[in-house]
Amino acid sequence: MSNSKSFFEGVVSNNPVFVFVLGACPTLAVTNTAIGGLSIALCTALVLLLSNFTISLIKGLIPTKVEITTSLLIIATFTAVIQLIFYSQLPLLYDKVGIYCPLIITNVVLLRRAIMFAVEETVMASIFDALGNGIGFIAALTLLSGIRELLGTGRLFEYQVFSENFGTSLIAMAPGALIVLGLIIAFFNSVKRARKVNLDTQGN
Amino acid sequence: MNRPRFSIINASFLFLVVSFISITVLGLIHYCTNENRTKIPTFETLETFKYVLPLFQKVDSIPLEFKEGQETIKVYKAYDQYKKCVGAIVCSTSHNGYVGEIDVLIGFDAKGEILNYRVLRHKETIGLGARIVNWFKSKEGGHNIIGVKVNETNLSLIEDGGEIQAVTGATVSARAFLFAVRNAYLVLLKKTDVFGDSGLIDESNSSPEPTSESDSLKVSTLKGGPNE
Repeated sequence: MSNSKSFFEGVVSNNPVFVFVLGACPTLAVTNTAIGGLSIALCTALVLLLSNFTISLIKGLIPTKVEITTSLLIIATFTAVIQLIFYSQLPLLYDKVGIYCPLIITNVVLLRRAIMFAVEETVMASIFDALGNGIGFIAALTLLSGIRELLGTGRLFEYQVFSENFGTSLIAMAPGALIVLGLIIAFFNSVKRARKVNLDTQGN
Repeated sequence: MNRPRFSIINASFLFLVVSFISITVLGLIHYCTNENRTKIPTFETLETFKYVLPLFQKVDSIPLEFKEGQETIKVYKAYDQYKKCVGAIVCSTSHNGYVGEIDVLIGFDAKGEILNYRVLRHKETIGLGARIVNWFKSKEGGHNIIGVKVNETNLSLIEDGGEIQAVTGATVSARAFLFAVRNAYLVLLKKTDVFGDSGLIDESNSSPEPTSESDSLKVSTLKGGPNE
């Protein structure tokens, strides 16, 4: 698979959130504000990039039976590194969303890309795969949190867009996350189905 | 690619090396970020001071600190170009929020009027309690506190016998916010000379209103329903 193809698959057609519904816990938890969703998604993407790179670099030293354990150790290290940097550079933002930062280790997107891609492919291919999936994850969380913040509070990235009374608090709360995520996945699936029907028609 | 065969020795060696590298990297990053991490983040900047109290030339760099029950209240006195006190910026905290603490910065002029406020820190629910950030600035709906003279207004919720409309569905958060504002005013009144020329001090000494407000707050908190 070419590097550009693996990159674009991660962003759109194999988007980890909207297509595979991976990393649903952080997706639902942090997306009540756009800035929260974006910051945790950025941290996750950075950990994904660093861990994919490292795992593909040392894959020749890892026996198959311990690849999950080794990958987890590497992911945990980079999560702790990113957490320390996040706290030291953006303490005020960390105060709001930092509680979700250590949970990046449990994000299944990272482990999936590590054991399905990084241990098999070259360093360059792993970097492109991590970039694609990372940007896909950032786009998904930013879209979801942006919609929730806008419809829930009338604000976007903490700027008042609509009037104070515009918001529907249900969307900003936990059920709203499930509703909005479900609607976006439904939209993704309908576009995919329409494309498939279109291709089938052209083939006939 | 040929991967090494699994054996206890192989795996132990691998884990040892990876762990050693991990610890070294973490230690290095920990050392490099130590200075920034130990600094206490502050919201009390000149920009936020200007936001809550626009007209001043100079402000105390070291605040006066007072303890009111559980809460610590910081007072920054503000002065004009003639070094006359024009008001104060008060950083007040309430521990009665729905989720935790609510920190508020309030600007009072020398006559006891609230000029503006900013919620510095809170963990209230987005879409409900978090609406305190702007709720009490709105001119409509009977919940505005900007331009209000605290000695002439009962700054409690209507449910508690006061004059202020609570945030819909977030009574506890609104009550905690108003508690912080009242506490800030009481500290300015009783423990500082900010209102020295306004005649408020004598009036307040004869009025038992603030105490009764605090009492009504405690009673209503106990009675509080499931609302946030």
